[in-house]
Amino acid sequence: MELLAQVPQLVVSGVTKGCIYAIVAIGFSIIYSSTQVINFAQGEFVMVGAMVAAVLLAKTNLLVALPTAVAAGCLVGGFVALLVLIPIRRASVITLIIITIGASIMFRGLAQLFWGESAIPAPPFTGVEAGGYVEDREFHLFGAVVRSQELWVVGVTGLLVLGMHLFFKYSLIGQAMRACAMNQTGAKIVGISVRRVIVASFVMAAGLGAVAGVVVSPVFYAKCNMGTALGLSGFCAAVLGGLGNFGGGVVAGIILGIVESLTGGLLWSDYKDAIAFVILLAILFVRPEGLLRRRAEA
Amino acid sequence: MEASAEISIERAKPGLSARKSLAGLWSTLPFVIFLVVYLIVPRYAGESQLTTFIYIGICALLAVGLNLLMGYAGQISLGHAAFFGLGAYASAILVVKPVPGEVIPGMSVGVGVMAGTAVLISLTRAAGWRLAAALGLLLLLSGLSRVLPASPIVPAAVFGAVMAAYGRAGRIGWWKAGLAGVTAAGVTSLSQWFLDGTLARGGTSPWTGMIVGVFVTSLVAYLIGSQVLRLKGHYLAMATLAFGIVVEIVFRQWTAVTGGSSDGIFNIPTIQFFDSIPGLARRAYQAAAGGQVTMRGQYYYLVWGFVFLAVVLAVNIVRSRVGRAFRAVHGSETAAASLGVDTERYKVQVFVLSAALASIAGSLHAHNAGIGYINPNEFNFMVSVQLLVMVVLGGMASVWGSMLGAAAIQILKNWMLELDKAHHQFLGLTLTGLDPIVFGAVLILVMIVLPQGLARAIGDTCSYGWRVMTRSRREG
Repeated sequence: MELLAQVPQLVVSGVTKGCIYAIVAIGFSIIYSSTQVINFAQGEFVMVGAMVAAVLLAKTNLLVALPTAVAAGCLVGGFVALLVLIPIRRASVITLIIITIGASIMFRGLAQLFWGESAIPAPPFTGVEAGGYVEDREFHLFGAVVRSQELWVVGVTGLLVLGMHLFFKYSLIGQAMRACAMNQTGAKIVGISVRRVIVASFVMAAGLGAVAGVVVSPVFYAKCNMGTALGLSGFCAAVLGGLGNFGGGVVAGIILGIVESLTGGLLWSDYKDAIAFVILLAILFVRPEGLLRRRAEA
Repeated sequence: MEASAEISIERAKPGLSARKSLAGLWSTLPFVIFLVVYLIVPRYAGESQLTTFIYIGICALLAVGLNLLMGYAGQISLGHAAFFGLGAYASAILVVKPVPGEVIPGMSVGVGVMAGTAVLISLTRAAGWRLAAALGLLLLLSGLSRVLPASPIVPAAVFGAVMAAYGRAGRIGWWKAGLAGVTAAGVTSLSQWFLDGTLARGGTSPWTGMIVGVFVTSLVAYLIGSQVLRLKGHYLAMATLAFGIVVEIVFRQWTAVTGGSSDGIFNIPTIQFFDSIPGLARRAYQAAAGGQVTMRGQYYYLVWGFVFLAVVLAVNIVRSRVGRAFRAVHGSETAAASLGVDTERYKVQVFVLSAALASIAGSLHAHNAGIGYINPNEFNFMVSVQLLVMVVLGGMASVWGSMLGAAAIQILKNWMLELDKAHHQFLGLTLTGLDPIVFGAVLILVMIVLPQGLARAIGDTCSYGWRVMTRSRREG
């Protein structure tokens, strides 16, 4: 009975985590559709955003921290895009994988060099000043305690997903990116610069990841090695929802977050970090052909 | 150009057999040099240099194995540290810290189920839901086998019967599933007997630990590989990465068996190499080293002996029919399959082989002379990345290159350790823990500037220089 009472609380923290997975999954999808590359540095974008925000939030306010963090994320994304673009013509899949892995651990190392190995706590966006540090507001909902920061995470994720949808549907760059995803040669023929689209998609994925990092830094502490696990869980969500399918990625990300939080809280608390990876392995075991079906048809 | 080539063929014809034997001699030359250097190093090297050599040897063993998989068969693995760790932990646990009694039944059932599943896969190539159903059934039966009487015949019979029934229902043939069930029961009771014996005696010899480690690691690699290697490119990389992280988390959290991350396992005895070889070989080694050989020298001989065997094995595999099949798979899997190459089988074989080499390297790492300590941090994602750097830097599809890469990375790591100790200041930052930055930069640079790797680059430069020199001599 005591276990069941924890369920609402676990669902709340699961949804928070799931929102971040969802944004990372969208990042994977954006880059995959325009380049057919899985970017192993995806989790590192979130890490960069979270670290920059955590460092700045301690000194200044959100209005400074958010743009700086997003700019840093976009810069990192543009850098990775350049690294991938140099050899893209003659490169095999293994080469591109290795390059993005190299970029990923390089950024992790740089973050460790600049900000140290320990976790950095960040104050919540909206809260009450209490004795030197800012305390988060708390709400009670179906027997669970919801912190206002968690509402921020959910709200920002919703906004980002809506914005993405509108961007890809109505803006010119968004339409060019969709064209590239459908048929690169065709896109080239009608005069779309594929290189620019690739850079744009990396920068966008990185910016999204950085925003996610900023909103999440007060909930989970920012740490220089948080990227790998976030990247893998986000990839798991992207695969579950279908690579290139944004809506599917979002739903899958939130479900994954809830499942991970529930199984971790109720069944195997020792192995809670491993659950997302086991789910990923299980999916890849059971339905490898289902995941590749879209590509095989093309 | 073409004309000169034809002429040389014409000329070669009469003395073809002589040329051929000469070519054979030429190709064994690297091995001879290797052996000579191997034997005389302890004569000149001090203790600390021998330690470096031992580390390089362990890394070389890992890199040669991973290169067979990545360079020749073209299948990436980002979880190779897991196999390294499985070997290390298997031998350390069996030798020092036997599995506690309450864990033994569950663990032996686990090994049994893995063996049964491996048999099922190899017989039927069962995939997806069928495999999942069989696995669930095997687990259920394993739980049942604990209730049944202790004699191994009874559970084996029950296993066989139920699995045979499952085979009929799942349309994979009754005898295949039955065989899987019997194997599961047999291996379960065998491993229970072995683990009980180990606990009673308080540990086995390091050699037994190494062999059991190779067995367990190969089993795990077979199970993972047979499923994961159906995936291609990014999916394969992500799946192996996830596998590596899961194994590392198990090392960290299963404290009853592995000691966890805070303690690790310590006081692991070293392998007395000279005590376990014939007296004649021992005297030969002593003659080569010029007198008595220290403990570390002995361990050096052991590690590099394994490296030598691995290199011989790898070079021969690459030149054989199997090696050609690997390269065909690398070039184009569809084309290879259409020519009748059983791509799936070859991929799994090379995966298991490279995992087994990694496991031997792990055992050697665990029993390292004078250290004898392991903890989960030595088998995390960064180690897999370092292995990747070694293979990429040395050159994919080059056996000698991966040794070069292993040596380069190990020397680089030593330098960075000294840099860490020095605590240099730069722009107000203390320069410590630079490994990830350096390795990341090396990975990116090598992939962009010399995608063929160091060995090929050196070879090309040498042959270019040779051509320039001979040309100038001919003209002059």
